[in-house]
Amino acid sequence: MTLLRTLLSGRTTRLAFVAACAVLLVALFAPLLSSWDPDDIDLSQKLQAPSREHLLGTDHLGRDVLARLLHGARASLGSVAVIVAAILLLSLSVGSVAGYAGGMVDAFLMRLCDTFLTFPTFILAMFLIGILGAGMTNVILAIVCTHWAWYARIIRGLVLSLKTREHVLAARVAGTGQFRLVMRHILPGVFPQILVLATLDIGHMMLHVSGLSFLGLGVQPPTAEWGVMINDARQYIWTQPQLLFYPGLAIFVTVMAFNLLGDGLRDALDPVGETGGWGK
Amino acid sequence: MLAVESLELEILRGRPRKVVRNVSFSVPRGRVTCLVGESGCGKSLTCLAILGLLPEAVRRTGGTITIDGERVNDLSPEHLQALRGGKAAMILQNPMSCFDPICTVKSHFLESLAAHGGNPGRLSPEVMPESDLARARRSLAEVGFDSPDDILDAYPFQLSGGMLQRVMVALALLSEIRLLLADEPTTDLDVVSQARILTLLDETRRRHGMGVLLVTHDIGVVARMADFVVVMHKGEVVEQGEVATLFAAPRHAYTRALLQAHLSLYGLSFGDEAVGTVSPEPCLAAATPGPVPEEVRIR
Ligand SMILES: Nc1ncnc2c1ncn2[C@@H]1O[C@H](COP(=O)(O)OP(=O)(O)O)[C@@H](O)[C@H]1O
Ligand SMILES: [Mg+2]
Repeated sequence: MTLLRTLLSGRTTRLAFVAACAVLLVALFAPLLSSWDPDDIDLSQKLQAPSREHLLGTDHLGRDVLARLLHGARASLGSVAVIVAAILLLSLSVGSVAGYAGGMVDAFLMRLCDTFLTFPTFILAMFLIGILGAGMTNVILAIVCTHWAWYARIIRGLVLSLKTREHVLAARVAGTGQFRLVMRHILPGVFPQILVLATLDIGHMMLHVSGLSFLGLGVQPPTAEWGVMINDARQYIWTQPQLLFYPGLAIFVTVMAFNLLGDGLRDALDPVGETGGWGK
Repeated sequence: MLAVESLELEILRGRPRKVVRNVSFSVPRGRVTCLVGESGCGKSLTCLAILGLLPEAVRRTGGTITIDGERVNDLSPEHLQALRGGKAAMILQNPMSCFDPICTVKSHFLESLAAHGGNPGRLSPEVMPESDLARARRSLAEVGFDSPDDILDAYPFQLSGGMLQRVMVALALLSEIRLLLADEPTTDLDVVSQARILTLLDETRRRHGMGVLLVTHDIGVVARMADFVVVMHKGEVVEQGEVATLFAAPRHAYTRALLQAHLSLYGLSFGDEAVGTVSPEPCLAAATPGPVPEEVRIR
């Protein structure tokens, strides 16, 4: 809780925190926030200007833009949540095993990471989609494959430095077992740093998801997603620019919010890394 | 109690080099053996080797270590783990960095208890069973804390270095240990805390009859505590023996230099011509800090 207070002491971070929470709430409660079905096509109502009925107007198929925007938060954040969870699971296990075990195990796992680090996200995504077909699952797979190794390397480095700390030695001297040592003395030291990294990366992942969806590789139309919406609006860029503007703004605000939040988190946690003085 | 025979340790990083060569000594039950030597001569590595906790870059290339009749070299990792904190405990130099900053003192007790006969598995401080709690309290009271419960609830940064060092001794006393290794337990402490820790170690040894290996490079500490002295220099044992004999007639040049360096602090000298004839009394008198005044004794 004190961490939260430190975090929210900066104005920018406070704003970012509010924005990020707002996007999260929107994603959770999208169906309650708009009475329109985002996929409800009504060609007689296409490309309507904003009105009392359609607060942000309608798109080229007569769907309510606000409803699509709100539901788009679900697709974007939902997929990013899956990606982050998968990356953390993979990298925490691989990174901590490599860092803690050392020797051959470490060397092998790190070469494995190097292999994964050589794939650029977009190329691997296209490759996977070429083989397995377009779809969100494959995009998630591609992003996880190209990002987990970064995390694994960083976690390994943190574990390496943490395991030589004296309090870890002291715990071993007292007869603490390996598993407990890692779970209770090493990983808790890794989490804050990884939390910062993951928060900073949420925006980055979201751009990947939307970017790939924009290219038609990720979320498939007609599902409401911000990248898909921008793609749909492409043909109307001169006549109806607001159709591009709304999802663009949504992506911008969300990415910005998570980046600033990550920065704030890093600042709030930094003195901890220096002195080890938690929870004062 | 502890016997180290021809211990040899090698550093693997870069060109392999031997940092500890042919080190042999023993620590009898109920006695204090002091291991002295300058920084970097391999004292800490020797201690770590005794508990099978050498860092990755260091390997034992020869020699045997026996604790209470058990060859440590032959033990399985599980047995070694049971040995640490069970039969043998170690106190480290810098108490401030030896506690996990995000865990209360209680969690540290809980962990040691879980490793040695307490209720296993339960690791949340809220559900610490009464029997374990009583053990922790008793142990803290033994090292001189009047209100153990306050200490149990404290985070490490809320306690001073001297207090943490006493907590470390209390942790070591949770099991009936036979051997206590203390790696420069007073180096990072202020003078008052130093005296208090030394008194505590001495009382503890007397009460529990364990063998103590006390690593130090402070001759004052040696004079006050030691029954036997082992002098290490550049990874080798250059001299060992009973403290009075060694102080009276140091044979090796390094031991002499060590004593001389210490005595010069007190404006005394230890001339070459006097060696062998001088009685140990002036050395000991100069080296021993006076009795601890009552008010700074453990509260
Ligand atoms: N983890 C390690 N990796 C490599 N070299 C080490 C390590 N620990 C200690 N050494 C080296 O071993 C030698 C002995 O160290 P140590 O036993 O800590 O000395 P001290 O007598 O001061 O306790 C030193 O020269 C040190 O550089
Ligand atoms: Mg040392």
